[in-house]
Amino acid sequence: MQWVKKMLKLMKYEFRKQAFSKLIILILVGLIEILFFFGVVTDNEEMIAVAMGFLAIFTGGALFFLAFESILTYSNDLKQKSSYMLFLTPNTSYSIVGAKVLSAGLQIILAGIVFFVIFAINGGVLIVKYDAIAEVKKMILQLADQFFQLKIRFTDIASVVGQVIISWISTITVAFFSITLSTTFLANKKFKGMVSFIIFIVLNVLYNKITDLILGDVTKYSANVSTYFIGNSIILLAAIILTYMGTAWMLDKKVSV
Amino acid sequence: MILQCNDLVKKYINKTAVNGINFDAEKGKIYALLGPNGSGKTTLMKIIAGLVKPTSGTLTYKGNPIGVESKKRVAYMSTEPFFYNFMSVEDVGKYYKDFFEDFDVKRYEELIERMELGMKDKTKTLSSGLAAKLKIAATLARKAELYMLDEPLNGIDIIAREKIINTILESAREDSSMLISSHLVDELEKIIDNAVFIKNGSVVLYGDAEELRASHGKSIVELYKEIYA
Amino acid sequence: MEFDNNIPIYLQVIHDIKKDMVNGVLAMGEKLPSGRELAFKYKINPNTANRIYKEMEAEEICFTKRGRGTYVTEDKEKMKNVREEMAGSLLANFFEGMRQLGFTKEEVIQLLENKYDANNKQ
Repeated sequence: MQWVKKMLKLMKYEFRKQAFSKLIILILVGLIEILFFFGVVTDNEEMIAVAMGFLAIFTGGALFFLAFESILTYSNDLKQKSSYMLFLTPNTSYSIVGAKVLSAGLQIILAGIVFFVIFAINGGVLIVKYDAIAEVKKMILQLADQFFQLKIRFTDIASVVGQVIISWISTITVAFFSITLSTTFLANKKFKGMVSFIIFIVLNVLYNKITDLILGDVTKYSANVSTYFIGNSIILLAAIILTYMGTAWMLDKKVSV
Repeated sequence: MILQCNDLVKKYINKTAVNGINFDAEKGKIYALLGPNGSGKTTLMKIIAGLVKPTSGTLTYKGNPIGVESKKRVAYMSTEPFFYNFMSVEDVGKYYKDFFEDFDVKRYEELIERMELGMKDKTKTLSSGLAAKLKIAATLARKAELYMLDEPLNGIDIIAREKIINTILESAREDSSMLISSHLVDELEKIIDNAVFIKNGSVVLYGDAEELRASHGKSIVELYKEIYA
Repeated sequence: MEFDNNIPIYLQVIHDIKKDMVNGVLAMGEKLPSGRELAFKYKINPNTANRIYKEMEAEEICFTKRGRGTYVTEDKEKMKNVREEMAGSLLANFFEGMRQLGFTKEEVIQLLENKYDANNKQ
């Protein structure tokens, strides 16, 4: 279908706009991994601990940065002259914003997988190397057992992961919406950034209020945690759709670049 | 009639850029949009290109509002450089090919060579003169129905101007129209069909160039000086 | 070619082409450039170029073979007329200029006798 091809092309260029930072992240992770393996090979526990620590911090930082970069790219696309490149193409604003959201989502999921794999590898290496942590090894294997036996558990984890991803995507679409809204009446004035941020905060507060209203207290769900997460995800999905449509509509009808 | 503007208005907070423009463009003709900076010609072009949304008035391209369909057939070249920094000249060609069905890769290659650009050159290292030529090459390599060139001779040295004018003439086909805005009125005078003089956001004089010359007894350049003095 | 801003472009180009026809640069029956080629050659608007050929065809100094292009007329009488016409308008300007300077007919002829050869040696 023509439309799919167009979306893929748009996404291709969204990736390329953000390709350089991915390279930096990969290089840095690579360096940390070298440190880790060096520590393993030379039996340097301190080095291993430091490397794992860096990795943990870095993972959080990188995932946060990915969301931020997608938002920054969008803001730049509205502000700089290179926006002509994008908005002169025969694409609806719905395709353009959609491609941005999809490429951001994909990058986050991929990053998540990459980091998970790295942690798994490192964890595996450690377990194999240090039989002394047999206790830990037993515990992990027991957990894995339960994990695979009880499918309900799997749904729990899946729904948490799902919600984290959806939550990140909603952060991005709400940010898009905030930036677009402030651009509509402020164009490129100096304090547009601050106004965007305020709108963003307001929308998040609104979201939390609505969620509380619909779902009630988190503690009510202690028996059925996944229900809460699924409910939350549905509300988040609604928020994503609303802010996505709103952003695209404003871009189409109201915003001049 | 390929383009029709009726009472087009664009107001910003502190100024009115376009103040009730009525303008029609026919197929197969070259129109000069004349006027100093800030007269509204750039804003007019951007509205037609779909980059700026008008405050009021109507604008139709072949009977339909500006949108995806018009963007497929309208090639706009702005005064400012607008290519992504991370791109090379070759990348720009690929981008245009990806999004514009009417983009002719062979012609792009021919124009790049003519402008003495290299496919591997990075857009961010190009001098302003070469960047201007790249814009022209990319825009005119499209077989568009409507070309809008905003100051195509800006930043182009005198010797290269003839090349650019030839390139523009090559793209002026029977089934295409052109809107060209330029300060360098005398360079354009011979190649245009119609002249549209814009002042303070509205059209003050409009017509067939030859008729204007005859009825006013002066060249378009002289008319320009008279109107904007 | 330098253009005079006070005379319509198409007339100036027609004049230039006629000149080429009269002095033999363009032979009788020779194929003329296409409308677009003409536009490139003189750096003029393509529609103007088409109009030029239309006007010249109306004057019967060129003709179009459908699908093949536009050609200089092969009519010797026509060419002679064009030649005389162009000389005639040059002369008209010359006579008017000389009249304004106060030259009589005899003085003009004398001047022509003296100056013509000297001028043509250049």
